[in-house]
This record gives sequence, C-alpha cells and structure tokens, in this order.
Amino acid sequence: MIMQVVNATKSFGGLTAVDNVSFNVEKGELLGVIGPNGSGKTTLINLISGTHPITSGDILYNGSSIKKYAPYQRARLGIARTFQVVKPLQDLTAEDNIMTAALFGRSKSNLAQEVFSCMSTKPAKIAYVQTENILERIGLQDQKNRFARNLTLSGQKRLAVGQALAMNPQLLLLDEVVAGLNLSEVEDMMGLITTINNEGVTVIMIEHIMKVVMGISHRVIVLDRGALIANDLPELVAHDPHVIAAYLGSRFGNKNKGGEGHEHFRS
Amino acid sequence: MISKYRGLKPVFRYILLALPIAFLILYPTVLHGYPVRLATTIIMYVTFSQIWNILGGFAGYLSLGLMGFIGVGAYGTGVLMNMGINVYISMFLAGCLAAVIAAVIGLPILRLKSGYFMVATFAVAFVLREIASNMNTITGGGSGLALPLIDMPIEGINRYIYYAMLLMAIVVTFICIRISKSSLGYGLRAIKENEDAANVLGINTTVYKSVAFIISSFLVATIAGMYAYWLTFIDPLSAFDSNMSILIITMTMVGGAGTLIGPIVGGILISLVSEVIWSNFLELHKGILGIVLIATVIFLPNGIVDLFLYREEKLTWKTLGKVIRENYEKYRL
Amino acid sequence: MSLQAVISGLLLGGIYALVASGFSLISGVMKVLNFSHGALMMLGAYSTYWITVTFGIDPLLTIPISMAILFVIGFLLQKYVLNLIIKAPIYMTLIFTYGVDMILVNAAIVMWTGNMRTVPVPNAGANILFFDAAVPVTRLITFGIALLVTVFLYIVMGRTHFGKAITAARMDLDAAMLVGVNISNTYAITFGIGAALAGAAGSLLSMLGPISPNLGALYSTRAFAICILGGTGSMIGVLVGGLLMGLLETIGASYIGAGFKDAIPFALLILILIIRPRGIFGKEFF
Repeated sequence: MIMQVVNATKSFGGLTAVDNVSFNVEKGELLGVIGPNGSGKTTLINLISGTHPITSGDILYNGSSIKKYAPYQRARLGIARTFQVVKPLQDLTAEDNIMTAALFGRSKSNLAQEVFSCMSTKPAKIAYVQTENILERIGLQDQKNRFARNLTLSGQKRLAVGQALAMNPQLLLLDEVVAGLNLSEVEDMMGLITTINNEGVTVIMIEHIMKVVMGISHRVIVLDRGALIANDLPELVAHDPHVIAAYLGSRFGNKNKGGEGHEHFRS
Repeated sequence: MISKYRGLKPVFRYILLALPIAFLILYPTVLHGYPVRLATTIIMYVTFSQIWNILGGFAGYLSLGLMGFIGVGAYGTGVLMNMGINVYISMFLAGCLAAVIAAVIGLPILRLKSGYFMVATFAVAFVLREIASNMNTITGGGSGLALPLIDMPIEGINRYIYYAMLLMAIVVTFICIRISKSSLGYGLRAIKENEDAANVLGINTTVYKSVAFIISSFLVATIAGMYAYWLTFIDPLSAFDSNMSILIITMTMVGGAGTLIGPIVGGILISLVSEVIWSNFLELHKGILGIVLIATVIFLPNGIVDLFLYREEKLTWKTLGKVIRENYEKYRL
Repeated sequence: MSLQAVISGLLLGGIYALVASGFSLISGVMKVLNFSHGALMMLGAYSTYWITVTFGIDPLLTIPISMAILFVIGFLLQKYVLNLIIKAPIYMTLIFTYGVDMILVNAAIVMWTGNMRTVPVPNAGANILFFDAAVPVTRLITFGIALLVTVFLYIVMGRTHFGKAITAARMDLDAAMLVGVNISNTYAITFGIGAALAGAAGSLLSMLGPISPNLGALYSTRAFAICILGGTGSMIGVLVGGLLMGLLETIGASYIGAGFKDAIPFALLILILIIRPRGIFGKEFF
C-alpha cells in the first residue's frame, strides 16, 4: 500500500470539509475521486499534499505518517500535484516552469547539503535534459519559450501535468485536470495520464467528467458533504444507490460501463 | 532569462562582455578627479542594486532595510579598523556580522507577507541605527566615527577606490549570474511567482528566502565597508541613510527588478539623474525621486529592461506606447 | 514609573490612536499601507499654523477647518493619483505611497522652509494638578478631542449608510460593486476621511510643540505598529493600541534613555510581528 488515509478530518472553524474519511491506495493504482461540488474533494487532496494541515486522523505514506510534513517535504518524498485553479508560474516560460519542477521534487538531500549546493549550476544542467524530454511528452516542445499565461488552457493543463511529472513522483494528485478542455484534448489527456500510470506512478484523480473517471480509473471513491460514501470498482459505484442519490451522474456511469480493457486492482 | 544574447555564439558573447570591461578598466587612466569619483559612485550603486535585486527582484521580497545593513557594514568596518585590523578583513568581518543579524532576524520576519515584511525590514533598519548611534563608547555615537586615512595622494586614492569598487562589482555580477542559473535562482523566482505553488513543487521556501537574505546582507555590508573607508568619516545619519535605501530600490525598479541587467541599467541611469539634480536642484532632490518612483509604478512597474527582454515584437515608439498604456490600465480601478 | 509618566503617556497615546485610526481605515478598506500618512499629518499641522497665525484665532477652532482641508486633499489624492495603482500588490502600493510622502515633504520644505515653527497656544503653560502629577491643560484638551474624533469615527462607520458602504467594499469588492456602490468615490471618500483624521492629529500635535516638514516622518510606521499591536480589523484595538503605544514610549524612554525613544515603536513592531502577528484584539492572521 502506498497510501493510507485514516479517519482524516478537516475543519475550518465551524465547517467540516472532510469528515472521517478512510481509504487505502495501492501502488500503481489509478484512483478516481468524484462527488458533488463542495463535497470536499479538493480539501482531501490538500490534506494529502500538505497544503492544509489535517485537523484529526492520519495520512500514511509508504507506511509512515506524513501528517506533520510541510508541502515541500511531501514533494521530496515523491508526492506531486496539480491545482484546480491552474497554477503554473504565470510569468515564467513553459520551459522555466518545468525546469523549476525538475530541480526540486523527489530528492533525498538534507538541509545542509541543500544549502551548500543551492548555488551550483550542475543540477540545472541535469534538469535541463529532463525538461526537454518532458516538454516532448506533453507536446509543448515548440512552445517552450512562451510565457505560461500565454498558453491555451489545454497547454496550461498539460504544463501543470508536466511540472508534476518533472518532480519524478511516486504519487500523482490531479485536481480536475481536464476541466474546460474540448473532446479531443480530453482524449489526449486521458492517454497521457494512462501512460503515466502504466509506468508505475500511482495516480489519484479528482474529476467531474464521468467519461474520464469511469473510463480509466481502477477504482473510484465518492465523497458527499465531506464523508466517504462509496469505495469500489467504477461500474459498481455507478450503480450504488447512495451515490445516485447524492450525485445524479449514474446515467453516464451506465452508458460508459466498461471502457477499454482496464483491470481493477486487487491488493 | 530570455534574451537575444543567448542566441549569439560564445565567442561573440565574450567579446561583447569584454568591451565594457575594458572601457571600465581604462577609464581612470584617461580621466581624473571628479569623473573618477562619479564613476566610482555609480559603480557602487549598481553593485548595491544588484545585491538588493537578489531578494527584492528575484524573490519578490522587497526589503526596505537596506540602510540598516549598509550602516552595519560601515560602522563594523570603521570600528574594526580603528582597532588596527586591516581594511579588507574588517570589511569581511562586518559582512559576517550583517549575515548573523540577517540570520537571526530574517527567519521570523521572512514568514510575513510582502507588505508586512517590508515594514518589518524598515523597522529593523531603524532599530539598528538607533543602536549604533547610542553605543557612544564604541561607535562615537552622534558625533560620528573617523576611519584611518589611506596613505596616498588624492589621485591615487581615487583610482584605488575605483578599482576596488570595480572589482567588487564584477564579483557581485558573477555571483548574481551564478545565482540566476542555479537552483537558488529558480527557487527564488518560483517564490516570487506563487509561494504556495513553490512549496508544493518541493522548494523549502523559508530556507531559500533566508539564504538569499543572508547572502545579500553579507554583500551589502561588505561593500558598505569599502564605502566607509572611502568616506573616512561616518555618522549615524550618513551611514544609515534612508535616502540611499530608497535610491537603490528606485534604481532596481526603474531598471527592472528580477532581471540581471535591470539593476545595472537602472543604477547607471538613476545615478546620473541623481547627480544632475544634486548639482542643480538640490532642494528638489527628494521630490523628484518621489515622482520618478510613482511614475515607475504607474507606467513601468517592471522596469525599462522589460521593454526589451520579454516582448515577442520589436521595440518601436508604437509598442512603447502600447506597453505604457497596458501598464497604466493594469493596476487602476 | 511615576504617575506623571503614565499620564503623559496616555495623553500622547490619545493622539496616536487618532493617527492610527486613519491609517487603519485606509489599510482596512483599500488594502493600502499608506506611507504618506505622516506627511498628511504634517499638512494638518501646517494648516493650523497658517490659519492661526494669519487670522489670530484659537488653534482649537482650526481643527475642523484643517480636517476639511485634509479631506479634500485626501479625496483628490486618492481619486486621481492613488486610484491609478490601487489594484497593484501591497508592496507596490507601499512604495508608491512612500514616493507620495517624499513629494509632499519636499513640497513643504520648498514652500515653508525646514525651520521649526510654533503655533501660538493660549494658556500654553497652564497645568492642572492631579495627585502629584502636573498635567498640562493643552495636553488634556488635545487628548479629549482626539478621543472624541475617534469615537465619532466609530459611530459614523457603524451607523451611517456611507459607513456601511465602506464596510461592504472592504469585505467584498465585487459584491459591493454589484450592489451599486461606486467604488471609486467610496475609496476617495474613505481616503479623505483617513486624511482628515491624520490632519486632526497633526493639528493637535502642532499645539504641543514646534512643527517642521519632517513632523510626520516616523508616524506612518508608528501608526502601522499601533494597528498591528491592537489587532488588524479592530477599532477598539486601534484605540487601545494607541494608548498602549503612548504609554510604552513614555515609560520606556525613562528606562532606556531618551536616545532610544524613537526606536521603541519600531522595536515593538518587530517583536509583535514575531510573537503575535494577530495583535491583541485581532481576528485575522497572516
């Protein structure tokens, strides 16, 4: 198991955004996270990435608790994420965006090593090679000198995924990474994500577009008003009466039952 | 980091770089007296601007506390020299003192958001000034501190200080270039863009900001030490000069904060403007600087260099007008 | 710690609270750290000076006039100058207002020279005896007026239609705009009020000692320190913070020595920002 979320709860003052959520994630799995608006999906991801501190409960990564770790520490351990509101670094070029991610991300150096090596240019040279590779993969090679804010929405979303990739992650958290894209762009993104997953990267993916979630997820969890109401194979979740009650999307689930030969994961 | 410069073959790059350096090296052999002193001042201000740019331009944490570290460097060097220590060692030690202060005070105040950070640095500088002017026995308090004189004829002194400042300027320039191409530079730029995103990308923002703060404080104090050596006499108001602080910030902003060339361009330009005003309209100095500052924020917040560096179209009067109009609209209600 | 020092401190603190109220209003509503606040105070002081000296009336009577003058100046300044950069990030606006401050102070030096001037105050030396402390009458009066104006502001903000509009704009700009609040004018009026308060404080200060164009030099930072000390977003906090600052400065000066007196607000600011950025009554957190 790469991740265990145990009784995770997050309250903001009087509002409980995530309510006693528990689930496991297997290595190499592609886990879909769905639920109505405001059900706490992004907050859950924030708890995992460290953007919000957890109120109670625990998060275990590769067996040890990370709930007290700062976001950058979790990044060092191999957890990467994209944001719902697109957040590549707007005034930098696409290339610089990926370079930045490539320079940081998963690493094992401690504080002293880092301080002494921060002014060396060697890491940058290594990162440059990696950057070019990733730009090719996400199809932004010819736009690498364009500023992030001048990219199309699809470009920006791909850039965000590219950044996360550059961090050499074990666990990739995607937050509505296909929102706003047209059909063919969605197909491309699905392909990219599936490829990444097939290379061994565990993926947790928040998505509203049912076709995507049900199509490529191995397993799906459903949140409603902060609580976990389902945790099962996509087809089964689509027929779960609780899910139907909370979130009238089961029609799509029915139509896209199956999809191409994905296997669900057993522990 | 984009510029057409990158596209040139390395051979041409070195030639392009060598020309100004050769000019600078030969300058004092051709001219004497006031022009040399003026050039020294300009070089010093350019250096200060570049150093401030590390934390202010790259990381977006504008420190209003420059005058504090300049004062620490000046007084530190002065006090140590009066104890018989060699000037360069004194400068170095004064720099170390500044670095220690920056480390201690930096960690807590770097946590603050940009606006509050600025005021906090301003407060720190002020407190440092008060401390220095009250340590009468060590620093001479309000009556000032005299430094040992350089044993050379005037022209010799002019040249000596000129070359010393030039050397330091070149060293600092190399440091800035190095930072810009290293993890530190990328990290700081990410912090400026979006600190939360930088964190998520794996950047330990607190450490990186602190390193930048400590390095820039060290460098500022060291240069200030040379400055004090040049002046041969300092007192709290001239060593902790808030005018210098704001002048340096203006230079960097006018030139282009966050770029490598910006502080150089801004430093030269504003130094010359300042010199003209000082000679002819002394009593309007502060006001004109204020006008330059607010005009920069309204029309050219990213500085002059921004006009050349990041545009995909060539620079003409029309595009200049367009950029200025864009900037004008950007921040207004 | 004598009674004298305590009373002195409190009386001074009243004026500090007044300065800080104006600063807090501007920073709260428009998210602008107004570093020209000190210069606005100075202009208020000079208004009082010139009116008193030219027309020979009691300086206390000039306060409403100086407030009106500063309101107009503030309104125009905001509407035609500050509005140009109002959407910029805080550090930009701070530098901007710093520049404005430099221009105003320079203008004052050019117009009125840097020499100290004194406002003629009737009953300048009179004291009231309070236990064993001699309380200067002028200080008592200025304290009273400062308190009055601050409380008046509090009422205006809470009860009037306009006060509510300002509060709405502060909470959610877009929503306020949708509801029909004219943001540009609202901001201008707010800044005008803040400036008027600064002007009043300046006028009061002019009755307590000689004035010069550099009068306001430290007050912007001091006002900021008071707002932080008392807690951002809290009007009571500003009042308490002001009084506290006055006390701490006066009492602190007697312990550390007059040389450090000016440094006290700055040192305090750093300490608070490090230990408890929320301040005493503050609700928000950085």
